[in-house]
Amino acid sequence: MAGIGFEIRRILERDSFFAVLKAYGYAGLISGGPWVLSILGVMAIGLLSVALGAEQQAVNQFQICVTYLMACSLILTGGMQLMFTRFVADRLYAHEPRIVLPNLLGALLLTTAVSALLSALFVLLTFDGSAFLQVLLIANFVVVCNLWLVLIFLSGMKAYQRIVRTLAAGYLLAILVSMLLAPFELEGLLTGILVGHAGLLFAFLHHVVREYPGQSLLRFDFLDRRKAFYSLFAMGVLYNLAVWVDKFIFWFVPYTSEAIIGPLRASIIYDLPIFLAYLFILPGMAVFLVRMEADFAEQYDRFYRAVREGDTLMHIEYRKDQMVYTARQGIYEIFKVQGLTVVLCLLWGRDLLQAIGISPLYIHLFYIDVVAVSVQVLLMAILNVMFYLDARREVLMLSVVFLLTNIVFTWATLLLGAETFGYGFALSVTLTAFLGFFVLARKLRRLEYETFMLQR
Amino acid sequence: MTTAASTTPIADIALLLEGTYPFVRGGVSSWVHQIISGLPEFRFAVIFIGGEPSLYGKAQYQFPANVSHFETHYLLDNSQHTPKARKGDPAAFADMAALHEQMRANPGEGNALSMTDMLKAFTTLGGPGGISKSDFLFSEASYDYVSEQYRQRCTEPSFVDYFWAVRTMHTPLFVLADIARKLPPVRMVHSISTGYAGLLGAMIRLQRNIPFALTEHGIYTKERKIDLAQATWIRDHNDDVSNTLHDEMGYIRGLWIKFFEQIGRIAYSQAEPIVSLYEGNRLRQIADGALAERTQVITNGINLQRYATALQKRPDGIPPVLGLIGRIVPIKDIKTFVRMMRVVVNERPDAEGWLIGPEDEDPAYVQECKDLVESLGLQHNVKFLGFQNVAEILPQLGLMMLTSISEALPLVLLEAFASGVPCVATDVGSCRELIEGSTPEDKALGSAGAVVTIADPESTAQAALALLNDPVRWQAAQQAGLKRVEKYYDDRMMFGAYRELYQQTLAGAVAGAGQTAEC
Amino acid sequence: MARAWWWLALALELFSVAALILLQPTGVALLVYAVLHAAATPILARACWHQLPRRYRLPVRDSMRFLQGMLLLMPLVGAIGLLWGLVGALRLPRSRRQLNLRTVGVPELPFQPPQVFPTPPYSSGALHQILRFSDKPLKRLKAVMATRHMPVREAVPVWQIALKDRVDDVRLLAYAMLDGREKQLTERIQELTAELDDMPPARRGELHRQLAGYCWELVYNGLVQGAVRTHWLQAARQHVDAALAQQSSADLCVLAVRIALEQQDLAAAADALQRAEQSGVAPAVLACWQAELAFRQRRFADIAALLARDSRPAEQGSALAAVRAWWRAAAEVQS
Repeated sequence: MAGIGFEIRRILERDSFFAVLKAYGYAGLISGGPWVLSILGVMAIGLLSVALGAEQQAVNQFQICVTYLMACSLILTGGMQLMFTRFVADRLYAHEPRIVLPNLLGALLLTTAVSALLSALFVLLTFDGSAFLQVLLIANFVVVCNLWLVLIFLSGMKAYQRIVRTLAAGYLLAILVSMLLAPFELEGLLTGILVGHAGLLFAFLHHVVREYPGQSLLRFDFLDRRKAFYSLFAMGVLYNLAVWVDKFIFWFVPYTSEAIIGPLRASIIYDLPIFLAYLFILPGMAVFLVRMEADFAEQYDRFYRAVREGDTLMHIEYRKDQMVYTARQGIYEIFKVQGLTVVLCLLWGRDLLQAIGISPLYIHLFYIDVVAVSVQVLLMAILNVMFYLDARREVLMLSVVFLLTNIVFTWATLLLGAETFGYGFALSVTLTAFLGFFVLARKLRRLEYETFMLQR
Repeated sequence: MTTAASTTPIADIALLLEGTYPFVRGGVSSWVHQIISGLPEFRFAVIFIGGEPSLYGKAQYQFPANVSHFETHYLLDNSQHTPKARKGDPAAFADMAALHEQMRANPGEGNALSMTDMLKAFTTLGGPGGISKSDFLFSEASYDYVSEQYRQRCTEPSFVDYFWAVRTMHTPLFVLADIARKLPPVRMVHSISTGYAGLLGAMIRLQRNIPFALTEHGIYTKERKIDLAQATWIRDHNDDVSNTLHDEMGYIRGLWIKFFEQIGRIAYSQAEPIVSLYEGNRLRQIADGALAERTQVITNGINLQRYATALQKRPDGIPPVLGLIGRIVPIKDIKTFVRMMRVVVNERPDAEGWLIGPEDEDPAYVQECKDLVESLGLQHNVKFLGFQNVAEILPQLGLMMLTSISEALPLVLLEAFASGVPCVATDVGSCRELIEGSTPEDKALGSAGAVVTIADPESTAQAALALLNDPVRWQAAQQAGLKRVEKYYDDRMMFGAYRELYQQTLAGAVAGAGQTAEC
Repeated sequence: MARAWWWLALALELFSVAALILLQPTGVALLVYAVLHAAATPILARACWHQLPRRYRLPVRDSMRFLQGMLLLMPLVGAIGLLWGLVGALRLPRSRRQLNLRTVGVPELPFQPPQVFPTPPYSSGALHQILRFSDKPLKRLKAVMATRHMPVREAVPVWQIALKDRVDDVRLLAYAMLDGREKQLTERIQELTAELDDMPPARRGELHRQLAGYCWELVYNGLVQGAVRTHWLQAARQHVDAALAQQSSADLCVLAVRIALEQQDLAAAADALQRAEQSGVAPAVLACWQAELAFRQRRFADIAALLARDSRPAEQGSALAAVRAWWRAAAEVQS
């Protein structure tokens, strides 16, 4: 499903400086897309509405609500995202594109039902705001959960310009509607983001549905034990949980957090730097899309074709070396580009924080967070290679390690004091990435053996 | 004394059957059934070896009372072994490498391995100190050995083909070793072919020191070679650049052929006696490595009484009906029969061709034949009758046709003779001996029909017409057939021969066992 | 009627949202919203269902369950979204037929070592000689094996000799090879014939063309004889005629000429030749068939001129060269 990577790589082949910028620009927007854009969008809405005279408290409440919406929806759908991605890839490989649509709709129905039920329970039991607010929160949650599922198809699409336009339009719509409804405080802002996200969801759905015509409307083959990998479900949930667990710890430990709205709490000192830091993964994500998705996918394909179509052992080994080389190059490039980003952040971080009006007290936390999220991009690249190699056991192991170390280390930083905040997450992600390197290296070393002897 | 001999045997003779009785109908299966039923004084154990469970339905034969034990095994069934990474025992793989080296050192004639080497190889195979099946299938040591061998020897490019060839070739050996280990005590084993069943016989003979008799209906190794030469599941890598006429088969085909030759030789080296159905096959066995003094011929026979009634029921005159009795499968070359009918019908529009036999084995081929009948406009002359009682159908035939491209000693010819039907058969297996006679005395009885070349509709049709249109010749052929089957192919003679064979072999075993006990 | 339902559903949805925003206390607002929204759902679902393209409507239970579920559980935005994002898109599938242009990199050369054969290669004539005169069965067997690399037309005579061999193995191998080749072609013919029935008559031309080719291959390669050969020739003729009725291409015209000549149908061959000329086949290509026809029709005087037009290179000593030389000489004698 690396269609878009190939398309973008074609821009690179034009071989001009502008083409490179353009290619990586598109790649960054698409791969970092919804995640980074939503952070940007929410920040923009916050800043603009304050400028338009909305109360700071409502804006804070709005930002926290959206953060929780993102975190919970990612954790809830992380499993289904992985499982369904694999299902779609398998079906397309088996030349059954017509089965994709009914299953996508099945997955959407399932996601809608689960997310609506869970969020309704949570909101109705714990919130005491207006009825409209409660329904808005539920609607937002359901829409975002569905959106993540539809976005799976993004990397398989070729029309990258359309994708970028749609993303931009969606968030512009969100900002516009929020501004119009800003007088209605929290409800108004939430309506804005709901309209934006719903616009994105249905625009992408529109695109996907047109791309994959089906035979029927609803099927649940993706849950069929013979075609589904439930271990992928576990990995998705664990990985997303691991990414968010340190934030949750900071939100719910009393002395680092404060109540914002209903049961939702936030940690002012911890949240801002890390979300700001996530904006700086764009360069790495761009390289990820082009190098890992496109280049690696191609080499991977050639390797397995050599195996299947009866090449000599020497050529199979040559193909594997090429594949390993590509993976190594990709990881190395991400390392370089994120390294550079970290250096630039170290140079200008202080000015940056000042410019957007954040206290320079956060600077050290911001530095360590930039390092941490950069390593997280590396970890994603490693995991991506492992998914290609179908190393499900290893990924599961890494997800568990990531989750456990993040809990333990974050807890330890809480005990050690404020100057160590952020190091827990950074240490955890670095450890996991290192472990990932070794596991991946071993996996690649034994690849021919495992491919031939342990298949089926 | 071995432990096997010290416990009470569950049967006198264990029959080792590869892909035949009791699951698949056919010549060999009915022969096995005939032998078991005809020799009630012996107790038999039936050991069936198949490829994969899905290939076989339910048993086609009801066991006679003297079958005291029955086992089924599947050679390619790996379902009980789930892939799991493992290292594998390097020492065991080194032993195995040495063994292969030894086999490669003296290829061709004679036996590459000594008795003790063979015994050691078989006992360690899948057992203690050796390579287990899981090790073979999943271990790193196994992969290292296979890829190393590929690098050193394989002249064909495709590694994946080589890999699977080696895997499929060797997996059955582990199953066989396991059968040999677990088989309950018996007094002797009797394999009804070489190949995997023959190899199993040799393993049991070596490990338990009990006699191993071998009967071959066809020549297993030869049939495998023809299969392999044509097999489409083996890819050929033709060098398109220098496309010259050469007879090389490709390394993987050659590997398979060498493998079957080798296990055939192992079976011949351990079996005594080695029985064939007719002289031609006996010579072939000797050529393939059997010791001449161990070989003997026991022809098939039929129950003459059963066909005496068929003879009485015959109408006067020659019905213009040409019958072919046999399964509708490619090896019977039904298409040549159909094409021949076109020529026959051109001259005798009243002639009919009947195809009598089950049609379920190869439905695609049956359809091809029916299409051919239609395209040649023979719908009214050629009939597919399905499975019928042979004794009832034979009186209605004017000629018995056999267009097979391969046969051993076809019982249908004998049945036709006994019912007074002359035969036209292709020159395969022992058909010429059956129709024209083998010994001078036999030949003096005259020709019981005609022998024609394979895949030649024109001359087959001429031979059939010559008999149909010439009552004098037809009568002479009928008489020759009747006399020949009475004199040489009575099943009582066959039972007698096998009774003697079993008695002598078992007696020899007791004497042999006594000797070893004294030593 | 349908429109009225639409308006009712829309009104219900609007009222539900209004109730949500305006009513107090929270519990009442939620309850009223839930009731109105739930009432609107089945009506909207029905309306959406009627908008679905036919193939998505069935089975009714599944598609209704999906529509109702989504409309009910996705509050506020579900209706608009489904109508535009899903139903609208389902009605406008992007055609899979329009293949985008795809750039393909330079393919790699096959990674195969050259094969070196320890035995010297045979020549085609040598195979005949070995099969006829060699005493060693193994050698004869290998000779048959070597035909695997020959064109079928040349291999068939070799197989015919081998079929009469003294030794079982040689016969069997030859038979297996002969039968295998015939089976390949007849299988393909059967598949295509089966496809023919599913194809609308207007689009059958291409299939007939292929079928004619395969039937002709059976005959041309000598894989069939006698009555069967006549049958396949007739089949080839029918298919070529059927194909020509729909499309006119040079190769089809030439094939028709060859089939008619093979069938000894000289009138048909003459017609086919004329048609080939009209359809623009170069005279140089047709010359040899015209010469053949002239010969069969005993118009010997025309042959030399026709052969002179034939531009194919004829190697010294080949049959073609001999034939040309003979007719040229004959023409000179006459004039």
